[in-house]
Order: sequence, then structure tokens, then C-alpha cells
Amino acid sequence: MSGIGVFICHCGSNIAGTVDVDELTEYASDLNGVTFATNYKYMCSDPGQELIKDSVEEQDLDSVVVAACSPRMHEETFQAVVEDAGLNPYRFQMANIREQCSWVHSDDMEKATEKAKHLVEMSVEKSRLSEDLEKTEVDVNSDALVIGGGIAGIQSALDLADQGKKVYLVEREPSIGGKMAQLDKTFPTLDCSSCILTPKMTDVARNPNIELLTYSEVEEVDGSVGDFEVKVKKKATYVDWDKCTACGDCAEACRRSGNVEDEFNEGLDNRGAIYTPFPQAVPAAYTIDSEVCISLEYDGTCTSCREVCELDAIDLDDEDEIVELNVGSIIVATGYDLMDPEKIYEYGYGKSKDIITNLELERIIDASGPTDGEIHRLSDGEDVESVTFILCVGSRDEELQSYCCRIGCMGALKHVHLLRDHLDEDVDINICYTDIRSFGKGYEEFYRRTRDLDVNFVRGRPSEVNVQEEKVELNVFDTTMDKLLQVESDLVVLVPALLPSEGTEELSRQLRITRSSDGFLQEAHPKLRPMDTFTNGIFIAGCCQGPKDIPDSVSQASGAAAKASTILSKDKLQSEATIASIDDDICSGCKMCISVCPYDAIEYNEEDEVAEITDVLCMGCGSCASLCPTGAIEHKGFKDEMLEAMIDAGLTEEEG
Amino acid sequence: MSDEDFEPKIIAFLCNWCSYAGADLAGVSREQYPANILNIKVMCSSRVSPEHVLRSFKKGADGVLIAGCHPGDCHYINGNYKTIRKADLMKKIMEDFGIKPTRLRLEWISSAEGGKFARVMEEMTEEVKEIGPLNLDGTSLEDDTDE
Amino acid sequence: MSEKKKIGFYWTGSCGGCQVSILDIDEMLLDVAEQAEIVFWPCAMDPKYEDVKAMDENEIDIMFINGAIRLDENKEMVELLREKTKEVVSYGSCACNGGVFGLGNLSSKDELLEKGYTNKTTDQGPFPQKITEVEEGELELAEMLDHIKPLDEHIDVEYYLPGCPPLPTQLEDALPALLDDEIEVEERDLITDKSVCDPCPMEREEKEIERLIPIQEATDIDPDECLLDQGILCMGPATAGMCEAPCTEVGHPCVGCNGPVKGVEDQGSRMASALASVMGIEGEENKTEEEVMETMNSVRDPTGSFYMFSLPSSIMQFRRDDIDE
Repeated sequence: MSGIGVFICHCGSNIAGTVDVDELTEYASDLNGVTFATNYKYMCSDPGQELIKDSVEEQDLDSVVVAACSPRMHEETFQAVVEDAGLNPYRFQMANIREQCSWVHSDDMEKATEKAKHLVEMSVEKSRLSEDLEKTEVDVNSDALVIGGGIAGIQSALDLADQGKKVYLVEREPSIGGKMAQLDKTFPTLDCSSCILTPKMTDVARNPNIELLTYSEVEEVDGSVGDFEVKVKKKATYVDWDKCTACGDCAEACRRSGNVEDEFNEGLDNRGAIYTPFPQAVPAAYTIDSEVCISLEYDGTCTSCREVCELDAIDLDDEDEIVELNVGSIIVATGYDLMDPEKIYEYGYGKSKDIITNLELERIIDASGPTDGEIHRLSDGEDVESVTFILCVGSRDEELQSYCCRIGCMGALKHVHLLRDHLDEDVDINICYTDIRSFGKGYEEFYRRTRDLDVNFVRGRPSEVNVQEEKVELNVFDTTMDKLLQVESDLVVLVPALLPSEGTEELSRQLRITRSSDGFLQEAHPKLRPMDTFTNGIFIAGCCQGPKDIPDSVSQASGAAAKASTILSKDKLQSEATIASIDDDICSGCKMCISVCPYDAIEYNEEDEVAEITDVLCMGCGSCASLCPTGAIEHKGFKDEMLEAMIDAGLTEEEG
Repeated sequence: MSDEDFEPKIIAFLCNWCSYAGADLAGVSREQYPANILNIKVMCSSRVSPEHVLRSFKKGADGVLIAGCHPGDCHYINGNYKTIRKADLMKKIMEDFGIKPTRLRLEWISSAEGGKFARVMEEMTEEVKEIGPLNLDGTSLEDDTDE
Repeated sequence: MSEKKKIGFYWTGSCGGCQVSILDIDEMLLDVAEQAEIVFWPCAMDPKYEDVKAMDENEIDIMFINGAIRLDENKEMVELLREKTKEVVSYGSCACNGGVFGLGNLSSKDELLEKGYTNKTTDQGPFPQKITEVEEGELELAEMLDHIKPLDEHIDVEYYLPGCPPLPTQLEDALPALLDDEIEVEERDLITDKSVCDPCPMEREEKEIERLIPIQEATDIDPDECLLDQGILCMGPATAGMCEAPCTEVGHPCVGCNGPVKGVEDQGSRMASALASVMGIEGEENKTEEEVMETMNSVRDPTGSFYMFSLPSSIMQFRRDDIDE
């Protein structure tokens, strides 16, 4: 007759010195369901393992209980032994009579032996209810999706492509490049931003493993790790990009040319309805902004661009297209937006053209920007005699964004260098700061160099920015001098807080990934899993996870690519064995469990009106099983019946 | 049974990642604590149902401990927040059922807190000893004196 | 046609609603009368204790007993009826799970009598006692037992048909099955595996409840949306659903009268676990432990609400005396 075998380990004298192993063996042999019990000096040794293996066969055992050290030490060892002996590894239970018994009650043999008996009995009771468990396997699609074509997304895509993975890179704008493409120079090296970015952009365009989907947005995400099904909307560009050579004739011919605010130049310049965001755009092709095109938005009569296009690339009948992708892993790199500084009314953004953001200044300084790198007052074109930066506009502010933007201080210091290059040396430069944070490699040195550039550092946040007839005046209390200062400037540069880019919330919902309280996408662990999300197979990189500078974004992007690659390089993924499962004959569709699952492993099946678990996503915490009000959810390996039997066994009074 | 001789029976549900590891560390460090407590390993403290707690008392436990990772450190992200709320409701229900809520204890014990584990075991044993036996085992309705 | 089945109806500690529910099957009573002979029905007939005593063992085929066991007389009668009956149906919530009277188990017998007879603002009548001496001799009254118990704590029960009261539809479904010998006993299961949510027509969301609102304070209730989603305590998820959710359908939260679904022991703690798991999830990671617990303060009278109909059949069954007053 088959039954349970109990194997009690002496662990030399570690257990046997405190627990009467013979008495324990005798006790165990009388327990319900136990057909064999024995003890041995070292169960984990080769002869010990052999003893278990042989006994399983000779005694016709169907389950095994080993009473020894902690399962954290040897559970896997014994599971392998049991499996070797032809049993399912989950027909093995371990009673921890060393770490949690003999070692902690070494002064009382009687009590330790009593407790060991209970611990063994509890394991035997659990074992009686144990059953064969299998891990489910899913095939892994080796392709990847990267959402967002800024520097982080570009880096992730290139890394994955270099490993031979097929990558779909989805970008909302007509060109990749992101915020970095708008920058003139980068701190602390002051190298030209586009000089280091554009080669990477063209690498993306040239890489045969990367399929670039710009002017596209993720519409729907289904499936799970190894096999995500993604629907991407390719917005109509009205230009056949295979034909377009970006000659630019169309843009010149466009009747709306110079009438539409140019986003790339932060509205400081104008474009037409047919445009390319910037000269180095990738892909190098034109797009018609359907909302402002006379033909598309209004009467359909204008044909200016079509007339001049010698390649016949313009197609006003172009339509949005849904592309369906299957990928094994997803990297999100959707970046940031600047907070609208108008939120702080007293800083006067929008009231004068001379009050600008740091990104606007970036465009103005850029030699290929709207002013060809010439810096004048934007209101009247007069010379600039004084520039004042206001840092932490909305950052480190309990009312707005409590976190630090991490790039504002260094960006402003960089601007000081650039302004000193561009402007007369007698121009006043003031920086109103909270603290100068220069934490990165070479940053503090850069800060020191900047201090030598004749800059007034004012520690304080201006209370008000007033637009006067000629100048912009601001009041600021300098806390280092304990003095209220009044500063007149020709240009006030606001350094606003960083926000998760528009649409992050919706995307997080589509992907079923969480956001932290600041609205940025949440990493699975702040220290140890900074690029993982709680949803297996989805990773995050760059500013979508939180404000960061370029080196940090690139590091995280490479890290995320490496993480994704560990999944994409596998043929199959295995689920845990001790996961939850739902009995659909009992599940009543109350939806209590769905929001509770930290891994979004539970989904509601609208058709059958029951909840369902995706095995590979379930991590086996069991919280759903604990809450299911109908008992439809079972936590394999930790079933209610098992826990109840263990409780009962722990509380039985020993007879006699 | 006089109170002197009373040896409480305590069931401890330990989460696999923090508290069970903490209990192991107590062993490795040879911390000594009373043998009154029997551990049941669960993967997460949130696996413990109020039913398990009530059942433990009904079957003769004098105290029940639920131990998990510190808030914020849960291996399963947020399981222990559910445990806090469940334990809170549980205590209210226990009180209505005439069982001292202090017999149920919730503790956060990390895998590095072997010493804390031993201390909690000691404290809890002492406390439950002081409260006295609950002795619900054998007081199910069947044995309730009607006649 | 085979011989007519002999059936009977009896009530113990009960409000009487269950008896009315039998009449609610209307014309079907006539069909029943064709298939069965009602041999015992104190509510409608006038049988005497001695008549029952005189019956043969298993003389009655099916006995429907509703009400909980509150008095020694209840106990005596159901034990006697058990002897005389082949199959007993525990009919209604009180018989099955103790019912709403079961909340009495949160007080001791003395407290209940005290509350009922000495603290009343109106007539201060005599305290009930087993034997009362009157001129004509001794009067004997039934005496309260220490605790309310469901029927199956005293006698074996073949079938359970909970509900407060069971709906005519439930009885209409149950009766033909019970009266027909052709139908396998297993198929006559009257408690469902599924909860009230299964038949409930309300639109449900993935549950994330900020706090509960007492229904009397709730304004703007959306009649098509799950009440729990709107913060109104509804016992539907933890309650057996053979009633087809008539309460929620008209906007009233389920109070849990059917007791737990099949196989679940403790309706109240199941509901507590489910509710505690989904309440106050939003922003929990930024809260202190105390703040997380505060979320649960909006759950008013958890024991009374979650165990309203099933306390005597729950794990704890009645109040223990661990806490000194």
C-alpha cells in the first residue's frame, strides 16, 4: 500500500542533540497516512539521498516528508531526490526542525521533541493533501516593442537589434529624437546634442532589425509576457514615405507655410501644414498635419503641394492604419513633458515674450534654431543686458511637484556657459536657485567652472515676476544675504518641473503597469529592479520612470534592453508551480480578486463571466485565494485544506 | 490547570520571504525562545484568511501571530497592506465574539531580524500567558451544556 | 402513479415568513397536494404532540423544518420529527444557518432575557421561568437554550434550502425534485456553488472601494451599477446565489440571507477578507499603518453585517467569555 514516508535527519548533533529522533521517528510512523518512517545522520548527504530514493521504491511511497533543516537550505535538494525517485517534486514536504526547533530550544530536549512532533505531524497532514503540480510553459516570441523614440527608446532599440532581436520602435511624432533633439548642447561636456544624437538616429533607420513606426501610437495591448499582442495605430501622413526624399519643395509651396506653430521650436517659429519636424529628422520625410491642411481640414481644393512634388508622393486619401504586432517583451520609454509654467501665475509666463522656458532658450541658442542662434529680446529684438534664471519652477514644491527635476540646475549652468559664448561679457546673469544639485560625474567640477563665469547666484525663489514697460522685474528674497532683491532682466528663463509625458496614464492602463504617486511609471523595486515593472515582460527606461539626465536615461535603456533580452532569448517561459487557479464552476464573477493581484495576472472573461488567471504572470502570493468569497480560487501547494489540516495538526494534544 | 503551568499554544503564520527567513536567522544565531509557537509557512502574509485565524482559536490556539515583510518591503509588492486591513477587521470581529483582540498579533519581521523574531516569540508567549488560556477547543456547540 | 408521499411542515424559532413562503407557491400547492399528502402542518392544521408521537418511525417521507433551535421545546420536537421522518429539509435561513436570530448568540442567554424583560420601558412583566405556580397548579414554559443553533446541530438533515424566506421559485424548483424518486439525491442540491454576483444583473467593475457608505446616507445611487462599487455594503459576493438576486435587481444590497455558498464554512470572515483586500488600495503605499487601518473604520458593525444570517453556523458560532466585562 502506498503512503507517506517520513525521513528524519539528525544533522549530526544539530538536531539529534536536542530532539529525540528515535522518539520522533516512532511518533511519525504512527501518524495518519504514514507507512514508513526512519532517521539518518545526514539526510542531505549522498547516502541520505540514496536512502530516500531507495525507500520510495521499496516502500512504494507516494509522498515524502523530510524533517531536517530549513527548506531554504535543502528544499530544492530533496525535491530533486524525490523527482529522481519518480515522484512529482511537489509530493515533497519539509519540516523545519533545525532552524525553527532544535537550534532555538536547545536547552529543553523534552519541549523541543514535542514541538518537532507537531511540526512533523503538520507536514504529514499537508503531505496527505499534496498533489502533483506541473509548471505551465508558454512559447516566447523573440521580437520586442519599444514605445517612445527619444534617446532612451533609441538606445534600447539599438541594443536589442544588435543582439539580433527584431525590434518595433513606436514613436508618436513624425521623427524619433525626442527631447534630446531639441537641445543645443549637453552638460557637463558641452558637446553638441545633435552631433551625438543624430548618428544614433540614422543607426536606427539603417538597422535591418529595427522596424520604425513613427507618427504611430499604441492602441491596445493584450496577452502577457512572451506573447504580447499589440495594436499600433499608424496615423496617416498623407505622404508616401517610400517615395519622399525630403526635398522640401512641398513645404515651400504649402499655402499655410509659416502659419502653424512649430512644436519642435517650442512655438518660437512657424511651419506649414506639410512639414518635417527638424532637418535631421528620421525618417527623413514630410508629413501633412491634417488639422491645419487646407485640403484635408477645410475645402479640399488646395493642391499646391501635389503640384510641386515631382515624385508624386503626396496622397491625400491616406488613412490611419492599424498594425498588429506580436512581441515577447515591451520597453516603455515615453519620456517627459515640461510642466506648463503658467500654473505658477506669479511668474508671468505668457504675459511677456521675454519670459521663456529653458527649452525655448535651448532653441534660441541653437545655431539652426528659429533665431539662428542670435539672442535678443523676444519682445522687441533689442539687445539683452540681463538674463535671470528661475530654477525649481514647480519642482520641489509641495503644492505642485514635490520631486526634484534633476536636470534643471545643470541645464541652467550649461546655459550660463552658452550665454557667455553668445553675449557680451558685461551681460548680467542671475540664477535664482533653491540648492544647486550637481551630483553626477563631472557635474560638481562643471558647477565650479560656471561660478568663475561671473554669475550672480541668488538663493531664493522669486515671489513675483512683473512685466514692466521695458524690462521684466522680479522680487526675490536672498536667504544667504537675508535681503530682498529687486532684479531687472531682459530675459527671464523659467526652469519648469518635469512631468510624465502626456498620455502616460492612458498607456499605463493599456499596458497594465502601475504609476507611482508622482505619476511616473513605477519600477518593481526602487533599488534592485529599477527597470522592471510589476508586469512581467514590460520594462521601463528613461524619464517615463522619473526625471533623469541623458547618461542615466541611456544606462537605464541599455539595462532595460538587457532585461528584455533575458526573456526574448528563451524559447519557452515557465510559470511557477505553486500558483493560483480558478474553478470556473464556482467563480461568480464578483471581480473582487482582479484589482488585488499585484501582477495583473487575473483577467475577467466577459464571455464566460468568470475571472481567469494567466499562469505565467501569477507569482503565487495567494492573496486572491485568501479573499475569494466563494472559495473558487485555490492556491496550489497552499490550499485552504492544507493550511487547515496544518492548524489542526499543530493544535492536537498528544495522547497519553 | 493553574496559571503557573499554563503553556499557551500559539500558531504563527510566517511569510516565506521575510518572516520565515527571519525565523531561520534566529535559529542560525542560536537565539533561544519558548517552544510554544508552531510556524506555518505561507508565501505572503496576505495568504492568511480570517478563517484560518478563527479556526486556529476554535481548535485550541491561545494566540495567533501573523508575520510578514515590513510595509513597503512586501515581496509581492502590497500583500502586507491587505494583511493590515484584514487583521484590523479580524480584531473587531474577535472582540464581538468575546475573544480578546490582543490574542491576534501582527508583526513585521524582515529576513535580517532574527533577534526580533526571537523577541516577538518571547513577548507573545509571555503576553498570552498573562491573558490566560482561551481553551475553545472542546467548546463547540456539541459540548455546550443545554440540559 | 406511485403512492402519495407524506410530507409535513414545522416551524421552530422563526418569524413565520417561511410558512407564508410555502403558500406563495400558489396553485402549485394543488399539484403538491396531488403528489403528496400533507400529514403534519401545525400552522394550517391542528395536530397534537401525542399524534406525532404515535406515528411510526419514518412514517413521514419529507419534513420541512424552518426556524432555528432556540428553546428546549424546539429541540425536543425536531428530535421527535427526525425519528418519524425519512428525509428532513432544513428550510429557510434560520434552520440552515441560524438566521437573523442567530445574532442573539453575540449575547448570553441572561443578557437577552434581561434586555427583553427587565429593561423594557413598558410593562415590567414577570421574568420568564420554566415553572410558574398559579392557583390551578404548575404551568410549564419552554426554556431558552444557551445558544441558538441551526437545525443540523441537533439532528441530521438531508437537504438545505436557505433563504429568508426561500423564494417561491426556489420551492417550486425544489419540490418536484424532492418528490420525485427518479431524481438522484446528488442532483437535488439546493445550495449553489456560485454567489449572488453570478445572477446579479448589475454592471461590475474591478473592485477598488475607497470606503463604505451606509445605504441610508448614499445619494445618487446608480441603479445599474454594482452597489459594492458604489461603496454600499452588499453581501452578494459571499452569499449563495440560488435566489437569482431579486434584492440587488431592485437596488437593495444583498444582506446575505442565503448564507455562504456550498463548501464555504464561514460567510462572515470570507466577506471580511474580500472587503479588506479591496478597500483603500489607492495610495496605500504612502499611508502609515494606522492610516491603512483607518480605511476599515467605514465598515460599520462588521460582525453584525457579515454574519447577519449565519452566525450560529460560522466557525465561532457564539460569543465566548474571554473578555471580562
